[in-house]
Amino acid sequence: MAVLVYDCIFSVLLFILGIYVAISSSDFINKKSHYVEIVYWCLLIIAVANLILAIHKLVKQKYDKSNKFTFSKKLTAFAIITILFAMSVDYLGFYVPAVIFVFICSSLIRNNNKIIAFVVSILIVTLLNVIFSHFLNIEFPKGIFADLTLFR
Amino acid sequence: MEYLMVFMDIQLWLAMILAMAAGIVIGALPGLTPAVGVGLLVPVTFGMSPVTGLVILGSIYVGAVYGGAITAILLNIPGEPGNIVTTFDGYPMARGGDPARALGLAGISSTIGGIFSVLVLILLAPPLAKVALRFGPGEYFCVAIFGLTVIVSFSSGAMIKGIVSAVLGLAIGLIGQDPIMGYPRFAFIPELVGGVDLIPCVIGLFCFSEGLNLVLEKQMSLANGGISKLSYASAFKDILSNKFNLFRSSAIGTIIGIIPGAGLAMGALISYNEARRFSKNKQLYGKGSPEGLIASEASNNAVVGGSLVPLITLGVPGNAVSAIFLGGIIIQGLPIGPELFTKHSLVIYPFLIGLVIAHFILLALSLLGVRYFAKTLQLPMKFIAPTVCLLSVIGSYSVNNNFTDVFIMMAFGFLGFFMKKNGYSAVSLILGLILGPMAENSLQQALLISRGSFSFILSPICLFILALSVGSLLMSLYFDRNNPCNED
Repeated sequence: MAVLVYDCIFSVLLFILGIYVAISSSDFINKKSHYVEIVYWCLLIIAVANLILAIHKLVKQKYDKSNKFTFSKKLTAFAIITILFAMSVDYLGFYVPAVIFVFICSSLIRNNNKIIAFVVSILIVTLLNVIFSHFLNIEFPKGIFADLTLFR
Repeated sequence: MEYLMVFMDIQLWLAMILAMAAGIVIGALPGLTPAVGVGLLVPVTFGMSPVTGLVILGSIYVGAVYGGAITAILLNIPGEPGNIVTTFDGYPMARGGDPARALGLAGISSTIGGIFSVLVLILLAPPLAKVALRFGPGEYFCVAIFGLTVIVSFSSGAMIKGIVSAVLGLAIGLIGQDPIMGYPRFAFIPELVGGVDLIPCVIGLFCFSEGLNLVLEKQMSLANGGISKLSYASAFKDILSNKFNLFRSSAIGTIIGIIPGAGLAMGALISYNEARRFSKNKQLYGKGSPEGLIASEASNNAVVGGSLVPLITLGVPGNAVSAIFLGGIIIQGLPIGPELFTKHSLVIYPFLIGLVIAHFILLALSLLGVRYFAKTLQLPMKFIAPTVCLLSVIGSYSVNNNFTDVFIMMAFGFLGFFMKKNGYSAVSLILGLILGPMAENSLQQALLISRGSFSFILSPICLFILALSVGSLLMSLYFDRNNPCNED
């Protein structure tokens, strides 16, 4: 059921996107851009087709009841932690947030021995840090720890 | 015999093995393409002899193209866009308890595909390069159309959803500058004026979304009921029973490699599609079919030799790696083009022989490494999922060293997760994103050249490609209609 509702929402969003592309492209300098025209017509037609198909299945109850997708708390927490990690790297540097991220996520997935989880987190981050920063010369943000050579 | 004397040096062999191993590691890391690997080694080859330098660059290129298959098979994470197709059958085979077989088949078919393309490079390079150079904007547009028809075949069973994904990919491909007029469009932030970078999108759709998926796994590790060992006899039996598939996929990969700008992903997608079309076991595709895995891996490595054809014969780099290779050749003070074969045969032929040897080293390293790579599946899930997400963040950051790419990656990751859970195809979206800008660019150029007329499609090459597209589309629709499992 939920999948079909998502299909309807997705189709409506695609239709809105198609309208937006059509309106915005009328402001372009070369108004006869065939390609943009083709794309927004495709968007509008396919969005309507997908919506009709989803509504048809909803009405005919032709959906797989086992195919139900809901957001779990664990997944939501994991997603939020990942976003926070990415946002904090610029301010705190790469190393510390990465260790905290791996440690919290591993504890969130399965709550086992915290000390082992922490040590493994340090090892994983150190290994990746060595590969990317030292061998591949990719410079990660250093953040407030810029002056400490340990965290470079 | 004179050409083989170079390979009497043990140091060259050691350097080739090290470069190959480094290439495999680079290829396996998300965000790091073969171009990064070759680019990192170019300055190192400056002080070496021309043959040694070029052979080492060739080794890292070959290794990096194969490396992406390891994570694609074990973790459903393509190291780079070319390995997306490898995930279709490699990952189900690995999850089914056969990771060693999947890795073994990938190693052997990559070797055969790669050697095939190098032999083509040695024997047929000049005439093939001339044909490739006859490709104008109109022909490129037709190639893009052919690629888009492949989407229909990939979406078998849920065609509307496949097409929805592809059209969304085409729409995302509009972001950036108009290819002819240069004005920005649909770029909401300054960082998007140059367009959406493909690598963060691939990492998001395939790696980050897989990381989110792994969080929901109830198993302790990815190994579902133990891991079987690689049986060399059965692996070679699989390869022998797929000899025509291997030949066809290697040929497609080589041809796609020769066409400038077509890329690894396109070769693998077309080869996989053709393998499925000619297969007697179509129902096994996407569920761990050895045929599909062999097709994608043979084609991927066949692109290596193919991409060097226009570079070595005409001095035209067809992709980013060949452009970097061009730098490597120039650094060595060598001329580009036919003179390489006439005046510098003592450099170019040993280099080509070195590429063949590099593929044998790849075979040895891949088969020796199978049991160690496969152990990845036994690692605890609680560390795999955060490591995959961490790698996704690092990989997307390393593309341009900025966090905009990281947030783009995450947005595509959530989109990819939603799409997978609701039956939409992430592959179709990426295909739309790859082919969209190529189609737009070439269409606009072709229309400019023909003063707004679509007469360019009447060229023999265009007509041939369009006929192939129509044939491909009709056959896909026919098979889809006769597929009892289809949804729409």
